[in-house]
Amino acid sequence: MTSSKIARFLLTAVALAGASSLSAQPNCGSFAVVGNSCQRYATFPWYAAGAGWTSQIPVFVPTGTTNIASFVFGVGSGNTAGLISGPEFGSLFGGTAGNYGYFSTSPISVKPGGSARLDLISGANCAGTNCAQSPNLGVGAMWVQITAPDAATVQASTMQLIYISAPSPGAQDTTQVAVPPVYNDQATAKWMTTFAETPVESKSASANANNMAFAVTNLSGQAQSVTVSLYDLYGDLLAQKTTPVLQAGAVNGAQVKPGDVFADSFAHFFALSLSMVTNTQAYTVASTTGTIDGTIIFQADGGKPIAPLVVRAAGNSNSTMLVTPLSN
Amino acid sequence: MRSSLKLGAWALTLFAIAAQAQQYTTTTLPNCGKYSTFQFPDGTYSCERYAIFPWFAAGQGWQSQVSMFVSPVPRVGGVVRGALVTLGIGPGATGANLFGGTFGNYGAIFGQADALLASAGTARLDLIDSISCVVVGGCYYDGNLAVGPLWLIIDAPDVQTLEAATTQLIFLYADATNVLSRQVAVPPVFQDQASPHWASSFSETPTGQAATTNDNFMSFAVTNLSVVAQSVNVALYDQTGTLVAQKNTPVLAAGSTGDAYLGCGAQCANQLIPGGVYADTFASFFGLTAASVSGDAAAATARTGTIDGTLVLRSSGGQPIAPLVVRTVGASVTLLLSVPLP
Repeated sequence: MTSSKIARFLLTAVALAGASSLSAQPNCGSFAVVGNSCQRYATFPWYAAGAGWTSQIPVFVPTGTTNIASFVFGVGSGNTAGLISGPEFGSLFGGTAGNYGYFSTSPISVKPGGSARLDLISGANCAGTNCAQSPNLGVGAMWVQITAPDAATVQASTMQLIYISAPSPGAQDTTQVAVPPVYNDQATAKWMTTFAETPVESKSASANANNMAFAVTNLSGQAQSVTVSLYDLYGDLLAQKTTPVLQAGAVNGAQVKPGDVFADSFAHFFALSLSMVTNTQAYTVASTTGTIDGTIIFQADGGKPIAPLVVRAAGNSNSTMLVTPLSN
Repeated sequence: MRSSLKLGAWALTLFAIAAQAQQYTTTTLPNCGKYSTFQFPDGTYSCERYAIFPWFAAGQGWQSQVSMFVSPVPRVGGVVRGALVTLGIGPGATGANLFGGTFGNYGAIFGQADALLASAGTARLDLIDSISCVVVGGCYYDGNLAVGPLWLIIDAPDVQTLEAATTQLIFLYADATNVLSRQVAVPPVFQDQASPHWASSFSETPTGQAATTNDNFMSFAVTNLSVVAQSVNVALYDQTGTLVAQKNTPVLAAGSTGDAYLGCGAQCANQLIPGGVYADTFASFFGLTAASVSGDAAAATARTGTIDGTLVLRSSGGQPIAPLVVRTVGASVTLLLSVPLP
């Protein structure tokens, strides 16, 4: 893709006539009041675009709602750390309905009963207004604003992010993983999910070795690190390690946009081996199944919200593990 | 095991994994709020929550892993709290018994299983193969693909612990070389959150055009979560909200209440065991072609190669249903998140 002078434009995907705000201040319940609209904020801790990866974000506003919802998507301003370190792309190449271009934020308006799909194709290298697609993998956190004249429409507006990858251009897609957003109003400083990881010393011997990975982004206005702990089936601590300090997110009114994001594999971060399983029952189970099973807990050291993502690769397949927010 | 096991002769109490004594019941009548209260034969009580998975798959290369955990809850009076998770095969499934187990301890044949979890504990139940059982001759691997709904009961001593218990089901598929090529995690449908009306996104490659490596193939399953037989209207809308296609499933057999199905008395009357289940691909059910859309949607399809929009499922009887929507692209498959609508 050659350079383009449409860099950093606001990509309006579906322009629809109709009110997206009311003349009187609405009752927005637990959502933010911005002008005459209600606003809700969400975060995808990790997207992947370029170098064989695409991220699709389908959104819809169900029938039964009465107003247009506006979704604005933007890339995080922080850095990535861990397996992939460096600044995030400030702009991406992608768009909706096959109309692709360069953007740093992408507003999409959807009427009741309507839908849209934002495709993130690659990162973009921009010099002034000239942009070109990057051949490198673009990753990092994404923020979302949902705006509507009433709380019901905001509440009903739905989205998810789907990762798709192929081993080479034009080849058969071998990975597809859908993940829900983390709504900022539901985010906490502590999260939990399950894991199943093949010990490092056994990975090469199994075509279906379980390889867990995670990403966690700082969803607060203060810098903080995150302690990541693994527990066996019986609740005994297996391993514990702390991420580097993740820089604060950007506070924009009631919204906190994600700051730094740390991502790593269990093998690299924990090097989980069978010898680390000290509970005899858990050791017996791991020896029998070939995987160490248990729970992973993320705890923000600053006590402020974070947003995690946990996935498992096994053979040629990938899946998300559903994370649950815990009270602090 | 709490029920009379009408699912079949086989049941399995899987494990008591707590490293220390824990309680999923209480001796005093709990305030269960919106959840049900259950009294066990020993006189103790629990709060109960019900859930289902609309579809599992076991056999012919497919496995289903049901992982579950209880988020940490503090001790009460020095007692570790926990949850009892009971899982069973719905009557709408293709069979009543499965082969599988936990912790690699396979060999058990079961139609229902219990898992006891302490606070911060976790477990994984693997559903591996389809089993047929006959009165004379016992049980045998039938080589079939077993599919259909699963029901779950979660018992805990209080609402806090009950809501701390969660689960997911992960489909795994191994190809002919025994390498896992598909993996999809799906959340349960909690009965207290079920609705007669659901929506999800879809992206489908139209039929009637040259096949490509990464065509999009949508499919869905929907089960009846009520005690009345009902069909389900399945409608597709393009991105502008225009109806693209709609069709009704056959009438899905009624489900049962817990008291009728499990024989656990009137206190189980609030539980709904899923009834019939219908599953199909969009290609077979709708046969979408490029001509199915017009205007802006047709222009978008010409650019992207897919018809995109919203799938809406609505039960004809106005009673709850539970759907599952997935998309296959190339050798990959993923869940499309379904949301209940008012």
